[in-house]
Amino acid sequence: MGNNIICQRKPQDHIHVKQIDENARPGARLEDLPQDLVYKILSKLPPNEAAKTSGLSSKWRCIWSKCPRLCFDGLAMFKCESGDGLAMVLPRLMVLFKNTMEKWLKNFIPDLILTAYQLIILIIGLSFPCHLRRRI
Amino acid sequence: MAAATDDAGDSNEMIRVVSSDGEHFEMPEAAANLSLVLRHMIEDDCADAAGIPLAVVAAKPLAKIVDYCTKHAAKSSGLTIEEAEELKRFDAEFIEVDTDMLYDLLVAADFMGVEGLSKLAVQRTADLIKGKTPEQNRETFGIVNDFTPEEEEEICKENEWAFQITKPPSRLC
Repeated sequence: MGNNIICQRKPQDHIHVKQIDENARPGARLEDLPQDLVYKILSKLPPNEAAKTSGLSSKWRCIWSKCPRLCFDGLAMFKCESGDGLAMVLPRLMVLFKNTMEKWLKNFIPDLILTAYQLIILIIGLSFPCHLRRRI
Repeated sequence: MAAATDDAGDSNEMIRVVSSDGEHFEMPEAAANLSLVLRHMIEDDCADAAGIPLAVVAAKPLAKIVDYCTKHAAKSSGLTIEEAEELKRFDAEFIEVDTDMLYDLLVAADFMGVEGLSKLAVQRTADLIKGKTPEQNRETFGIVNDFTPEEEEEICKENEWAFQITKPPSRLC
């Protein structure tokens, strides 16, 4: 390694350099790495290991879920042994799907009703003055 | 060493690079070509005697990168099985560094576009995370646990599937 160094830094540079170094890495940590690097690292992990990073700290809580490489491992997610096969995984998958749909519908339908209600109010509001105008 | 590469002719030419803290390094052109940034600089005739300045790479990681590129450039083409094995051993030994150096290498290799080293460092970091408890990972990477016990329990419940595989549920958090 040392063979490649052909000249040492000059004394004046030294002060300047110290400042750069300190500014650049005040105690570098894994979460301080550029985001794309963190995602690259997480994408090299099996899905359960990546998800486990959510328990490290509040900064890490959601990082794994933003990892751009999606890997859906039914065996890991539904706690099956590899020998269980599809017959074990599918019913659990269906339950998860049902629960997700129910949750979504619970949130979506009131929203839909509210939007429809607002729309009706708006239409009435718009047409009422016209109606009045005609009468007058 | 550099004569072994495909780049006939000027492959013996030495390329100078300057780290952010002003140290100068030299490597064969074939080695510099492994870095995308340096290759583009060489193609654009920016590699003069003063050296190519690398504003965000400090001397320590740069010395390692120069080492890596020199080794890999010398053995880039027509590898025999033994040579490939040797290169693998070199890589394994090369990346046995502390976490501070690992971060530096990750950032520097990514900045300089040294794909092989970037992959190596990313894989090494992933390997360090793999198979550890959150507590062990916090220790390795200096992460401070700022969760309350309730929050921790909530996260364990949220991602129950992930936490249950390696450990029994009673010792999750």
